[in-house]
Amino acid sequence: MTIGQLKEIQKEIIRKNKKCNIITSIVLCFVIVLTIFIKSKYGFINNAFVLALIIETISIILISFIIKMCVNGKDIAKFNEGFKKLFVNDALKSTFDDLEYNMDEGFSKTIIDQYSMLDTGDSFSSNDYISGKYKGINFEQSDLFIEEKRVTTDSDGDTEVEWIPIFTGRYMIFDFNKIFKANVQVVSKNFYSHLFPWGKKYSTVKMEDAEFNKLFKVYTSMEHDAFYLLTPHFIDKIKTLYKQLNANIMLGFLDNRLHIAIDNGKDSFEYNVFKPINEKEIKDNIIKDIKLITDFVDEFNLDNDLFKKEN
Amino acid sequence: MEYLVYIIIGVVLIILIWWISTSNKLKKMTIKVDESLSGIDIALTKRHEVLTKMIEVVKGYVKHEKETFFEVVKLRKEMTLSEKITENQKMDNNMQKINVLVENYPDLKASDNFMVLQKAIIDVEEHLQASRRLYNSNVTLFNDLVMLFPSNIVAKASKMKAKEFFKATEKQKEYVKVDV
Repeated sequence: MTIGQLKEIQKEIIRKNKKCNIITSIVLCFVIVLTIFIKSKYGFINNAFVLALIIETISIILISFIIKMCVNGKDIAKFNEGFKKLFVNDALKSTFDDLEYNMDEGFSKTIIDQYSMLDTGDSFSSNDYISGKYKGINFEQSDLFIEEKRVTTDSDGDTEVEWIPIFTGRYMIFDFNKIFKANVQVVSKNFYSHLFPWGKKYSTVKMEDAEFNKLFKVYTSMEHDAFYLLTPHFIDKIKTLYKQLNANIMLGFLDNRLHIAIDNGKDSFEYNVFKPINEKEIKDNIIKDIKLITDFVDEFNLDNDLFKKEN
Repeated sequence: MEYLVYIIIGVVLIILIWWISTSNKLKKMTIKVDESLSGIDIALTKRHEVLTKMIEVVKGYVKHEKETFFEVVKLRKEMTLSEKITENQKMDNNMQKINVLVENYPDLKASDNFMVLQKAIIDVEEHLQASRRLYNSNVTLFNDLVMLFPSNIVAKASKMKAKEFFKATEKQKEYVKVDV
């Protein structure tokens, strides 16, 4: 696919969308006028009438949205696929070795559950799976969306179900350059605590850095390993990255791999289909998304194999 | 009058519970400090082992150098903390001598055996640093209890004293930065 073809698909989506909007407006006006006419002829304008009008309006907008999705759904999927093939895939290929990219699939719920680093909530989905090598370090990553179901019952006994997003961001796993026995988890304090089952299982450790202790909680099954992995240099890097990202983060050390979860509220490697295509802006955004992976390898010196024992 | 008795009993009970919990906290911290100190012992022993092997390898390459004189390190059970620090400093000095010698012998620096040992010593150093930091962190918590009011009252009554920190030398910190 070329940029020209992508722009054509986008034009078509916008054209169909405009058409839908015009039809919806006409239908809405017609229905409102008709309702007023019927009501003024046969009855009084009262609260029930206003309520009916609101319900009618919402229904029409909803129906219009569903029609829009039916009409444009295929084109939007085609646009997203084209966008990812054209821009994302190329950018990933030029940065990583042994690349595997699957835009539709991500980490499975079972895999994330097995790691026990993050609670997978009541609704779990994942996409943009990337695996590869950067500076010789194996990694894999995916976007994750986790929601929690909250049921509330009022005094009348009516129950209301709400789906609350508790994690929207990236989950990455890197090969780690130190060998350790115990599991260690570092969690920023503002993270939704229900997400971390380890908090109940392991003890907390205080590091010697007061600022770090204010920002993070450290859980571990062996205190020595927490100090072995979290060197003063590593602690400084975590603090810097945390401030740069301005999002809640979790770092987990498990089976000689480093797990990182970033709750930045972003769906990475995506593009708003209604936004004019600006190649430079798109490339800059993709580089930003890729940099999130490379920064961890670079800043944490994961390619430093001084601590790895020879095979 | 009856109320006053109840109040006194209540206050005495609160003090007693606080005393027992503080005393337990102090005992737990003592155990934690002792455990982390044994972590230092293990790390020092490992460092000594790797360093001894390194010295053997170095001696094999530089038989005629005067600098091959290394300090004798003796690690034994029941050593005091200051003795441990002294022996650790001797190891620092030996490590520094090895680094100087290695610079003059490119063959030694490039030898597989030496490179493996150099990687091992860096890892051992990291473990020693971790043990030291953990020990010092526990000592800080323990000393806070021993020195700060009101827990210092219980500590004094139990004849507990502030513990010494395991100080790292500047040389020790440098080893982590060794280029291989």
